[in-house]
Parts: sequence; C-alpha cells; structure tokens
Amino acid sequence: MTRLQDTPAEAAFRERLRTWLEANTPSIGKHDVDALKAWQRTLHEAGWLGLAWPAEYGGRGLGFREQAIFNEEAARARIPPSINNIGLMIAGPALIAVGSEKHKKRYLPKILSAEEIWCQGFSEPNAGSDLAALQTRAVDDGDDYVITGQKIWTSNSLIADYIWLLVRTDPDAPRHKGITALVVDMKSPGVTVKPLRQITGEAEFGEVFFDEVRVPKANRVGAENDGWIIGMKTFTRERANISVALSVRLQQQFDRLLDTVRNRDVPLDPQQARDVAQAYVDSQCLTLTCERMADRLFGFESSVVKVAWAEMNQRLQRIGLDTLGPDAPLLSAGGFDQVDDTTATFGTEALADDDESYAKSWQFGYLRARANSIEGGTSEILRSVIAERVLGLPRK
Amino acid sequence: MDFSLNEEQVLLRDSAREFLGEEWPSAELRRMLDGADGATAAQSLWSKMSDLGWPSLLVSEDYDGLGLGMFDLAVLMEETGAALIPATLHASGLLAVSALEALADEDSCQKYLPDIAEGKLKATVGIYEPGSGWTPMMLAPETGEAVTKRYVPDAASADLILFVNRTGGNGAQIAIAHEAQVEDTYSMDVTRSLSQVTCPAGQLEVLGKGTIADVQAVIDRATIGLSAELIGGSARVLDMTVEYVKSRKQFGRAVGTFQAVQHKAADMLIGIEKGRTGVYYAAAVADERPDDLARAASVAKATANQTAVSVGELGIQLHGGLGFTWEQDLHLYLKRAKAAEFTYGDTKWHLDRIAHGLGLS
Ligand SMILES: Cc1cc2nc3c(=O)[nH]c(=O)nc-3n(C[C@H](O)[C@H](O)[C@H](O)COP(=O)(O)OP(=O)(O)OC[C@H]3O[C@@H](n4cnc5c(N)ncnc54)[C@H](O)[C@@H]3O)c2cc1C
Repeated sequence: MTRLQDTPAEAAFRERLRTWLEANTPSIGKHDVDALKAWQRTLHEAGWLGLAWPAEYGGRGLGFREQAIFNEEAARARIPPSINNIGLMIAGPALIAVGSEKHKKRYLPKILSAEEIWCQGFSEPNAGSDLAALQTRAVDDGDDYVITGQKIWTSNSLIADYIWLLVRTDPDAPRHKGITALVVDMKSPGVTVKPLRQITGEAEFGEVFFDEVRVPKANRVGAENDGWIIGMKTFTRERANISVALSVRLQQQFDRLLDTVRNRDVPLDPQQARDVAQAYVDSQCLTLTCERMADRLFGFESSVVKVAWAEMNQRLQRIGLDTLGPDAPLLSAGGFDQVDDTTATFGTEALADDDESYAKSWQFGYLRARANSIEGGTSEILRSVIAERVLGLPRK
Repeated sequence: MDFSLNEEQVLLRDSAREFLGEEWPSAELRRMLDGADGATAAQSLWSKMSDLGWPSLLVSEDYDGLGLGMFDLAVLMEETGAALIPATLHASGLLAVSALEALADEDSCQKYLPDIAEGKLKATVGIYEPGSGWTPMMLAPETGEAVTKRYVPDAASADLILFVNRTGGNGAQIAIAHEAQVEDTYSMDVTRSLSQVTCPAGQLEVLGKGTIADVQAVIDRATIGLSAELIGGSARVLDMTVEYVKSRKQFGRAVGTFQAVQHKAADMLIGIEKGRTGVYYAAAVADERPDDLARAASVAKATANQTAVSVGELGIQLHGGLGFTWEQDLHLYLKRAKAAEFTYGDTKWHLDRIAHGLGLS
C-alpha cells in the first residue's frame, strides 16, 4: 500500500492535466471579466471542471482525489482566479445537494461554463453571524413571490447573473422556520447592486437591493420555509470547498514567500527564518489535513479546517509583509487608493500575484487576509460550531 | 495521498485501546509512580505487551519481527501515548531496533534483534552527550576513553545499553556499553526515566558502523514515534476535558456552555487534527520516501510540540482547581508534553532545520 504516491490512474490524470495546463494557461489580469469567463469556459470544455459533480449535469463524476489533484496542479501552474467561484464552490454544490432535478439540469452546466455567474445573498445589514435574523421579505402572490429587502457583503454581485438567496416567507413562524431558499435572476426588475469598497480598495462585494422583485415560485429550492436547513448545508459545503481550494493556495503563497525572502538583499535573521519555517509547517499540515479529513468535510468538521486555514493564511501573509523590513509600508505606483472601486475582483482567491512589486502584493495579501476569519462564518462562530457540533458540548 | 487506516491498523488501534484500558488504567500507572512495587507494575505491563508482539512490530522479518512500518507503529503509539505507558516500548521497540537495523552488522542484528522482538531483551540507546545539543555532528569523536551519554530513556530497567557515537568526521558507530553506570537524572515526566549513563574506558563493544546521517535518520524515526505519543496523549486530554465541562455545573449550567470554554476546546481539537496529520505524513514518508525524512520528521515534531503543550495547559485550565491537583492525571500529560518537547529537538531546533533545508540560513 502506498500512501504518498498517486495510484497509476491518478498519476495518468495528473500527467494529462499538467500537460494541458502547461500548454493552455493564459495570463489574465484579475479585473478582466470577459477573459476570465472565456478561460473558465475553456477549462470546462477541456473537461477539468466539476470533476466531482455528477455527469448528467455537466460534471465528470469523479472523486475527491481528482479534485484535489486539480487544485494542486492549478496552483502549481498558477492559473488565473476562478471568476465563478461562488457558483463552483457554494451555489453549485448546494444545488447538487438539495436542488430539484429540473434546477440541476437548468443551472449547473452554465455554472461550469461561466455562462452564468452566481453570487450568494445570505447576509443582511442586521443579520450577519445571526443569519436567522434575516428580514428580506418574500410575499406570496399567486405564482410568484414578491421580494423586498436588502443583502450586504454579497461577493461577485456586481457581475452576477443569479443570486442564491435566503428570504423570509413566514414572519410569524419561529425564526428558523420561516426562511426559504430561492434562485433569483439578477436582471429582474427591481434588483439594484451597489459596490462596496473594501480595505484593499477593491470592490469584490456589494449591496443588493430588492424592491418588489417578482420571482416565480418555480425558482424556489426545497419546500417553503425549509430554507434554514438548506442554508446550513450551503455553509458546510462553502467551508469545505473554500478550505480545500485555499489550502492549496496556501502552498502557492508559501512558494511566493520563499521567492520574496530569496530576493532580499539582507539575509533573514534567525527568528524570521523560523517564522518562514513555521509557515511551511502550517501550509503542509493544512493541505494534508484537508486530504486526511476529506470524507468528513461536508459535515460540521469543515469548520475545523476553515478556522485553521484562516489563521494560517493570516499568519503567512503577515510574515510575508514583515520580511520586507523597512520597505514593507511603501506603495508602488497605483496604490490601493487608486484602485477603481467600481471594478469587481474575484473572490477569496484573488492574490495580486501579478503585481510587479513585492511590497504591494504582500500588503494586499495581508489586508485581504483580514477577511478570512470573517467570510464564510467568523472564526468565533465556527469555534462554537466545533465545540457544540463536533465535540458535543452542550448549548446554552 | 491516503491517510486512511487499513483494516489491520483499525484493529491494532482498537485492540490496543482496549488492552491498555484494562491493563494500564490510571490506578496501575499510579501504582508504578507511588507504590513500592512500581517496577513490578511496569514489568508486568511489558510482558503483556510483548505477548501482543508490540516490541516486534518494527523488527524486520529476517530477525523474527513483524516487519511493519512506521505508519503502523504511529497508530499504535497514539494509543500508548494516550495511556501514558512507560518508555520501554519507545526505547527498545523503536529507538534500539532502528539503531541496530541502521548501524549494526548482520551478526549483531541476528544476535540481538530476535530477543528484542520477543521482549526478552529490553534495550535502549544513548546518543546525546553533554554539550552536543540535539545535533549528532556535535558529538565528541570516540577515542576509547570513558563516554557519557545523557537523556537515555529507560536505562535503569534496560538489559542492553547501546551507545551511538561519532567516530570522527561523518562516521558513526553503534556499540554495547558494558559496565555502564546509570544515574537517574529525574525527568519532569515522572512516567519516564531519563538517565546519564557512563561507559568506562575500554568497555565499548562495537557492533557496526555507519554515518552521522544514519544516526539522524534513527533519531528522526524515534521523533515520529514520540510525536505520535504526544498526539495520542493530547487527544486523551481533550476527551477528558470534554467529559468534564459537560458535567461540571456553575451558574446553574454546564461550564461547557460558556463560550470562552467552548473556544478553548475547539482550539484543542484544531491542534490535534493538525498534529495528527503531521504524524501520519511523517510516518508515511519514513516508510515510503526516506530521502524526505528529515523535513517530514521536523514538521511532525514542531507541530506535536506545539499541540501537546498547549492542549496540556488548556486541559488543566478547563478543569479549574481540580485540574491543578496531583489526583487528576492532567499534570502527567502536561509533564510528558513538556519533557518530550525537549527530546530529539525542541520546536526551535526543528524550525531551524526546516529553514536550513529551505536554504534560508
Ligand atoms: C470578503 C467577504 C465576502 C463576503 N461574501 C459574502 C457573500 O458572498 N454572501 C453573503 O451572504 N455574505 C458574505 N459575507 C458576509 C459574511 O458572511 C459576514 O460578514 C459574517 O457572517 C459576519 O457577519 P457580520 O459581518 O454581520 O458580523 P457580526 O455578526 O456583526 O459580527 C461582529 C463580531 O461579533 C462576533 N460575534 C457575533 N456573534 C457572535 C457570537 N454568537 N459569539 C461570539 N462572537 C460573535 C463576530 O465573530 C465578529 O467578530 C462576506 C464577508 C466578507 C468579509
């Protein structure tokens, strides 16, 4: 039995993928929406997306191992960021878990091909960690729901075609029992999106306003008032997929760190060298932990790797910036204040790899990483999930 | 990458847990620590473990062992670490077996390994010297004079004391230390003795030769085993803590409902999962990709050190005053963790070795 090596089938898959990526990986700026869509489509047509999704919905019907190999090779080849990451990592997997046959056939293939970009409308101004407090109202009106309210921190909302939305259908029921999940066309009359500028200067998320938006009941996912459970299933998939994809990015970040320190004029002092070694230990252990726990990650244990990933990435980014010494705070031309705040960037994996200056890319990395312990559930909330749902500690 | 346990490993783990639950409960451990018949308790456990074949696990089939790998041993050692067994299995079944197989000549292996595998012969190995730190290149070249080794595990009860020496340059040897004088140096970890052992001039019987790199590889294997013991111990501390905070009530509710308590427990689990990954990875590397052993062993030990000490501390904290009592076993785990942290390299030493391997220093 070998544990470290690919099986012959896995090795062949990896080899084909690596050759293909070497020949086909383009260089695309992270703001170039059209080019990023085209790239995702190319990836899909070549059969490299939706590896673990069922074949009848455009996936490949393979397993976690193939997906893990894809992540590794994609990181190695430094492929451009995934423009439909919310569709691929959150909405798609949630639809596979809970969607109707009709919805799966209708939406999943176009998530894969990037013909339709998705966003996730859960958080509201008064419902963040306490998601069950959400107030966006869906009023029953014959064949439609009529939706009024507001979502916030909605990643990719500026470019999205669809939103995976939680709304309140029964204001009189106990909080968790009056929520429903819907798929809403972002082009519906009454939907408005406003960008929100982030501490990095960019606007990867925005606010989405709903003003009496008509949504056919056929767009409902699951039964009416069943949205809470669906939301929870969405979260476990989000946390698992994000952690798995991003643990590989952590390795890539580590390589960038090595690059940075090898290009320094001054050698690292012993403590700095140790910090880099600690980052190596962290990135190794996290990637491997995701593999080791793969079959448990669609449950609450996804929170274990999500919290670990957030903290390790934050530490790594801090180390990267710190190793720059006196130059660390210097902005190169086109600092953060000059980033066009109407431009979307994509998701948690946007890396600023393509920035010429080390300082700017580590500043970006350091700042962007602040969100890691907030997005997809704060680390405080997730620690409580681990304690109560994984360790079985009593709830109040 | 595949870290799942196969059927035999699941069986090994479960049967070990059951066996140690019966044969080495806290009361028995306390008998060893407190009672006048401490040595009897330890010896009786050793005979039973030998009957189960544990000392033979790593020994190759050529020498009547089971010929299993480090991954199997790591699975077992998580359980032995959870039960805080004494050091004999580590010293004889891992350290001595690895040292003999790496450095001793064929005749010596034939002569000693079958008895070690059977448990008839309890062996241990002295490596470090005063002033050598954790770096075997820093050992003084052996000249025929008296040699003193420090931090030798389980030397007081060993039947065979081996020394690994540097012979000059990169050369190394393994030798029996005859007429050895064993002096207990009292470890903070009261469940495991550490001794200073001196072999008088002219009393070394050389069994074979190798290189300092071979010596480091032996230490790295022992490091992985020790890391497995630490993670097993940490997992046991977390189990004890979860049970306790579920039942202990203050302010009219279980203390496990308090978020400050919950979040510490969550951190314990995160550390344990990370540490277990480090151990399994390093064990798999030892079995399949020995060229990468040094770095993988350092990943495992750096992580295990961090996890075991912090879990040990948090376990005491979450038990309140009770956790501070001699009665509770928690302090034994923390002391084990703290002593083990300084065995085969502390966290700094391992991070420095990784940094060096990455070309950073
Ligand atoms: C970059 C980014 C992208 C995002 N993308 C999306 C998206 O696409 N779709 C979407 O729906 N949402 C998205 N979010 C929103 C995210 O899910 C929320 O920000 C998050 O759930 C926290 O909610 P909040 O911001 O209201 O903070 P709050 O819930 O107000 O939390 C404030 C602080 O209080 C703490 N806190 C709150 N409750 C508790 C408690 N019970 N115990 C202990 N501490 C507590 C929190 O941990 C935090 O530190 C995104 C956020 C970020 C930063």
